[in-house]
Amino acid sequence: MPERVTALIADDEEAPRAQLELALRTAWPELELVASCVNGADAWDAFLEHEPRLCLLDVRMPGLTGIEVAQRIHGRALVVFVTAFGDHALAAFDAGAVDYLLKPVEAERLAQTVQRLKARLAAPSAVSSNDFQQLLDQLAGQVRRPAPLEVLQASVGKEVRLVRIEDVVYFESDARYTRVVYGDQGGDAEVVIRTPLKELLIQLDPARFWQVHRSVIVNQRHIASAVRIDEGNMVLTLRGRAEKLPVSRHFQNLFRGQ
Amino acid sequence: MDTLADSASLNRVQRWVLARSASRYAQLAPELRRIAMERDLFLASGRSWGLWTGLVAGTVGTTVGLAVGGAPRLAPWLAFVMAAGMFAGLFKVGLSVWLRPERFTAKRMWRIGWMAFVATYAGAIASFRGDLRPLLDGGTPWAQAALRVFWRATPLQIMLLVAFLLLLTIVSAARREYMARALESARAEQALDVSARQLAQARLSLLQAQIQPHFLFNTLAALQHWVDTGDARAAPLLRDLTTFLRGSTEAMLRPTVTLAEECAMVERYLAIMQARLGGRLRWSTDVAPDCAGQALPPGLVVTLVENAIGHGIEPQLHGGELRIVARRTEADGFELQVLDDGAGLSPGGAVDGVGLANCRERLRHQFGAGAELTLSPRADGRGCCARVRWRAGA
Repeated sequence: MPERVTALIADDEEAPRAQLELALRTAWPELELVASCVNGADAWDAFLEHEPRLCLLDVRMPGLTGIEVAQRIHGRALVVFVTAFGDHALAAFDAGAVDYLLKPVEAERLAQTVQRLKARLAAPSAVSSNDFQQLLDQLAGQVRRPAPLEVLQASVGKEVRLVRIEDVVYFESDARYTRVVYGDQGGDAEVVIRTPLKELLIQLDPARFWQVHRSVIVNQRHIASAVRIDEGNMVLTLRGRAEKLPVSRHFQNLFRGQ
Repeated sequence: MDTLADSASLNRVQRWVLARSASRYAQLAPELRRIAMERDLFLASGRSWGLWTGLVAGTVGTTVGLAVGGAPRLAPWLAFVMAAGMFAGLFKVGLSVWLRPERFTAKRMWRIGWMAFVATYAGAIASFRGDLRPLLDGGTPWAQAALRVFWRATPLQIMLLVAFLLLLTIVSAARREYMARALESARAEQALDVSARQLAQARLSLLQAQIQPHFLFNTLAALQHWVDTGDARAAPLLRDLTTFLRGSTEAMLRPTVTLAEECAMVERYLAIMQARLGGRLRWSTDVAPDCAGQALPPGLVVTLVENAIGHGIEPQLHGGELRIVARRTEADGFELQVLDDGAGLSPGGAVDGVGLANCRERLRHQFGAGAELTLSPRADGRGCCARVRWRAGA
């Protein structure tokens, strides 16, 4: 029985997404599509959820660009970029021998790409090269970002409470909502906001707020220690707080000691 | 000038002259080099026979005159040397005047005239020195004869000198003016050339901005998929794309379009983006009837809308709303706003892309200082406002 290969696709426009999906099903019938994402934030979240072996990412997407998603994936899946002719990144892709498809996706080109991907999946080292990461860093640096969020607005009954971002200790995903735990002059408090964690993530300053789990983002000022429980599990302890936060496998290399 | 030198129509003499003078030409400035080459080619051509004949005849005539009619008579070889030297000098001066008329200003000619006059007499007196003392007592017969000749010749000498210098002054002045005019017309031609090229460049970049490959191919990708799958959205999208492309290509060939025409183009563009982005794009236009006839550079509003979608609405996870509002603000003042509720301007402030810079340039071209284009955060909430203000008929 052949090994099952899982894939994720992401494009913010419906038609090209559907076209890619259709073309992939024809070119690679055994491929298992685990997620079809509508933006970069969604794609990153779906990657954490499904851990597919293959990601086909549109370059221009809201939230996170395809480049930024690939940067975060950091070689843990094979990445193929999908873009339209005229994209600025194309020259860099060509120069860096990066796999990409042009929209609308053509059967012949897709068949070649599928062959290449199968070969790379069969090879033992699927780790992406440093060159590729450097290229991504360089391309991601060209993305303009709006200023990070300063204040959250949370409805609590009839009151709208304003929470300063720097007061937040951590965010935790709770179904479609996000639980915000923060420290105030009056002690600890907690509110629930309607913005999903995956959308909140892209509005936060990544230097101050670290994602440590698919459903947890923590203010790094409040982290006291990271404790390894066993081979796969790690937890964070927080300064002056009892609760422990899980660190999933993907984020454990944030805590390696010096 | 290189074409001149390479031309197969040159005769042997001309080729020889050009080959011999190559190193001399290399030292000259390009404009001078051209003139020098033209001059030399003329002199080496059959058309200059009159000039050469004149020079030869003048030399022969003067030699004969000096040797036969002069008082005192000169030995024939001396007469020839003097005549040839004089005409060679004249010829050389003539060539210089042609090439470098700026060296022969009236002031300089005046100075040279004085100096030549004084030098001639000083030289003559110096050469008579040995005979001067006897001269005071009546002198030697030779000295008396020479002095008489010299004395008689003076008015003629002065006249000749003045006439010659006057001729040089006049010729050089005419030549200077001609060269200045030629230079000016060459410059004007070049300037015209540059501005034509700039205009063509502006049109081209506008067309490119208007029909960005990325926009076109993304739209075609959607279209392809919908045609393949028999989706009913294909037909209206194709119609909108065709109308938009035809409209913008046509508009680019005109210096201005009316706001109504531009808005028709913008609405096609928005319909295309709407089909692609679905619910993520919401839009409305509100153009007051008294603005509709205003003439604007073509593609201006499309570029602003494109920017608002590309930088404001598309980067938003849930899209946004775009509004176009045009109003008359005073008697002859108008204002057009493209508003979005998107990501807003980047923290570092607005950076003009090619499209925006192009818009500003074309507004300046049409209205001078009578129009402005600003990009600012919206006063009434999130997002960005692109505002164009202009005066009618400016």
